[in-house]
Amino acid sequence: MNNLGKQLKRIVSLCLAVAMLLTLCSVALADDEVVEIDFWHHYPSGTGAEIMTEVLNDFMATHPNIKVNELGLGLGEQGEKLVPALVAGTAPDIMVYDLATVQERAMKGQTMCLDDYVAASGMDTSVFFPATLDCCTYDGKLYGLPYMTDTRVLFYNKDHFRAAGLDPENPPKTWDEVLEYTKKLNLTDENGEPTQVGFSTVWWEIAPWTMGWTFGADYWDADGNPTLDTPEMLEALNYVKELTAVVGEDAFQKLYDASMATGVSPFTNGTVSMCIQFNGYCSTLKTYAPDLDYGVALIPTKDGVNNKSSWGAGYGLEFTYKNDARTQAAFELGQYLVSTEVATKFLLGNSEYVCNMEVYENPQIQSDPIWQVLAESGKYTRMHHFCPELPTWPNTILLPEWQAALLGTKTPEEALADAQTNMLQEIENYHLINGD
Amino acid sequence: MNRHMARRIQRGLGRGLIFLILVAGAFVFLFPFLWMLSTSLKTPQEIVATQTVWIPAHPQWKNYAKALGYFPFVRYLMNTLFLVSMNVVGTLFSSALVGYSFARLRWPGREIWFKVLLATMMLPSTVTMVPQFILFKKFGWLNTYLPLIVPAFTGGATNIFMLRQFFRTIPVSLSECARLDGCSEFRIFWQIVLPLCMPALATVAIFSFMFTWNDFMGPLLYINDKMAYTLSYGLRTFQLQSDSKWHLTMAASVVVAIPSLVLFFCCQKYFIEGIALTGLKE
Repeated sequence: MNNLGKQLKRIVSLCLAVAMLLTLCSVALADDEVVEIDFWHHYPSGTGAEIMTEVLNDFMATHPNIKVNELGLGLGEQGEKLVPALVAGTAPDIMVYDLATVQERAMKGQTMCLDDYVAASGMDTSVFFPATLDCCTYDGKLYGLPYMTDTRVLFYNKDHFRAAGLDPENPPKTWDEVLEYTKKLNLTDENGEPTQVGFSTVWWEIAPWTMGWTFGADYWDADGNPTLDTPEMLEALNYVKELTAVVGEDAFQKLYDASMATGVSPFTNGTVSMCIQFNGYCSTLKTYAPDLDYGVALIPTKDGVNNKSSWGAGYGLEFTYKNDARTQAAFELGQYLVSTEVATKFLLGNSEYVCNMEVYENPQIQSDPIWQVLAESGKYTRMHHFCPELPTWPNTILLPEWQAALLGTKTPEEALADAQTNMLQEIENYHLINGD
Repeated sequence: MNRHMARRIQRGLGRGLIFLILVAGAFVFLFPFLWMLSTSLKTPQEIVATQTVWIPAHPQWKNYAKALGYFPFVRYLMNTLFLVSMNVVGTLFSSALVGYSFARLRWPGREIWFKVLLATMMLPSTVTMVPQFILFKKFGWLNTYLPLIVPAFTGGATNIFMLRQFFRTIPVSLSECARLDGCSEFRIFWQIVLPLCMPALATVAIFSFMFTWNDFMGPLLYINDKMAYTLSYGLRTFQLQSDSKWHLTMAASVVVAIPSLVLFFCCQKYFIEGIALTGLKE
């Protein structure tokens, strides 16, 4: 009996000692606790993914208490994966997602306000392109960090210009000049079949919003009311109709269809002399037309001096709250990713059009004539106005009416009047449904 | 004799015309694959040439090596094969059991539940996507293969319907004889009825294989570990680049499409039987 009691005491003492040891170990581990955060970005593979891996490794090396679990998602997959994750509350700590819809997710309460973190870190947000910062601001508060964007410029074929007797170093600056150049650049063969057209009239290249801005139109007034049927907008729409007629709708369509069957735009295979494309098009030309002698210029405007504009989209860094430690770690990663040093790596390594304006002061970028134009265009690049009642208004209200006018099913006046009426109706319906 | 000859000629012409129409139709359907094969062997400049290049001057076989180096091909292949095998086994087992129950067992509410089953076929997947995601999140199954495997073991409406139709063609007398000999219901199902349904089971297995092999949304939604993705996801990663490398995309597409093509050509009679099965009546 006594032996049994002694054995029991030994066992209990041993258990207590082990428990104390484990407690000491857990305390020791807690002091060195590594914070794990999830980061979803937009590079599933390729050069961008390689640079991102390098950047994240550098970050973790300088922040040993942070471990980043990264996942790259392609352009189309981001929305499909993020939407259910946001609804279910399983979205990552930090994510790269569509810049144009940052305000929409902020409105729905799906992402975090960053004001306190920005203030505490002393981050200077004036380094970002103003339009991109506006996109990340909702109700006067910051809900994202501008990360990457894009801009659209005029691409023109210098060989075509020379052949037509035009100066290859003097691209058109006004829309009237575009008409004049186009007439000289349109070519047909001996049978009258088009072999070359002067300008690409694909709708997303001469999008209604871009064209309107360059004629001095704006779609929303200072109070946030729609103004879709202004005289400037009507002028822009009438100009596009005229341009389409000068290019030759059938001629362009033939060349466009033939080219798109191979998956690239007709400018790439030399059947169109001028087009408006985004900055990433330079990479496409490098792959598919490395010998093409082309130049870039700012998108023309009505008078060539005022209303310089371009249209942009892009990516922002958004955050979801998990706990204080994770959110702080995620913000530190975000701050690192948008820093001048890291943004420069992405620009030089993958030709990314970053939102940090300081990057474009880099001597290597300053010495490249194409990047000079792209950097200049960024200052005039605008994003869509966020309309909480109907975030999809550019494609669901303005675009269908614009296209109806171009197809001839409505006059330009009718189309823009209908766009304005429909927009006002949608806003009214929204407030009726929501009981505002 | 002349009339006989005339009829033969008429029949021959008719068959010839049908043959020509079928060949033309086959070419139309084959065209995208031929274009894919052709593009996979071209250089980028040949792809965008204004004069269409059908047969590249110098076939670029290295496109295949390059394409498969863009993502962890072998790893994704192993992942895909694992998911495919689990799904085929799960689908066959669960759909056969449930189909047998609807076809051969009498139980209260059988017809009502069969109608409910048919109604679930009307639901588009986008409607159930988010609720299902939330359900699996609550189970703690996110970032695992469980959401991609377990549902296969719970039966699929289309497969259940197909097997039910086939089970109804098996003579009831076979089951009755076995029952008289003291066979349990499960033994009747497993040892008598199921072996007679090999064609239908093969069809279900093939459709399940094709669906899982090509499934992109499932892995995208539920997997967060890039090494756990599948071939369909790896193929999609080509399309994110602004300078889409079509020659590499097509090369990878050819490689990923080969197993489905081989399966189809080996088992095409089961595909056709599968279409016929859904229309069978007792």
